[in-house]
Amino acid sequence: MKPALSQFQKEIRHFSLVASMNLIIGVIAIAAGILYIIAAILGLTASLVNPELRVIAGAIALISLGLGVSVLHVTLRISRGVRTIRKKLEREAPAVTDDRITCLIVQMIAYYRDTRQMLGTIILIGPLCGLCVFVLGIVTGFEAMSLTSTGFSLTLNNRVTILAQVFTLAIVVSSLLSSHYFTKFAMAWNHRIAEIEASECALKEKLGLDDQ
Amino acid sequence: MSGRRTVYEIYWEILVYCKTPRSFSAIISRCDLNSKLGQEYLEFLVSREYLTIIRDGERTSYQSTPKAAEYVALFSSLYQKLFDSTPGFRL
Repeated sequence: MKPALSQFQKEIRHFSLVASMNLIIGVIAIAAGILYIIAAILGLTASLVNPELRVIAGAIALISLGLGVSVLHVTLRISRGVRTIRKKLEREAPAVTDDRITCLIVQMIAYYRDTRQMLGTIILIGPLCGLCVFVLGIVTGFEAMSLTSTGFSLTLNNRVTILAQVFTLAIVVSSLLSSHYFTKFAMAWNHRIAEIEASECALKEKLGLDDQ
Repeated sequence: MSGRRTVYEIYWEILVYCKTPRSFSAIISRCDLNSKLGQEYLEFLVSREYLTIIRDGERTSYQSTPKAAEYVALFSSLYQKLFDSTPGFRL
């Protein structure tokens, strides 16, 4: 298999993994937001230490829901085109012709140019979404909280809550990781686009456009 | 193929597609171009002798010339080299 093809396939596969991870984070954020809102409507959040905390938790739940929907929507939009290219690659490799490899690379570059801004959005809102789930987990887990002139103390209610918070911590770490990998992906393709722009002189010369 | 492409990418796509004779409508449909732009690109490639016009009665089609192969090869090598020269994306 050609090195360009195998590298291209690997990158697309890795990107799909990161996108899948992001989709899961989005779904969890939506679920966390909806569950809190339902619990608040049913009056199950009354156990929270004070009403202000309930308001804060409600606001975070709404933000979590909104960010989750955005993460889901943007990730689906970004990964749709990549998935199409991946399917073509899987279907045609390893007997793919030289022209076809170039065609798929051009498709990917064109697609990246279109979705570059969306990728920037997901890099930013992904970790925010994870953070919201984490903060929501922390806030709903408070059993007691006291603020005095000498310090601040809080008590988490039980082991289950602590486990849930470990889970939300895992989500925030995953969201940071996916954002990091999306950044790496964007950097690699930005670098390639810069290389293309630099090599346009050769193409221009070949077409006889260098004198214009 | 759609999406934001450079003019060089569109030229390459037309030249590869026209390795066998193609009609104007087939070219603009395949390369996702409007007829005005498609006409401009084809005129340019014909003027530079990268494409030749084949007339068969009322039918007109376009075919890449041997000169086009040089551009196609250069383009392919530049684009495939992107995966050798730049640090790639990996987990």
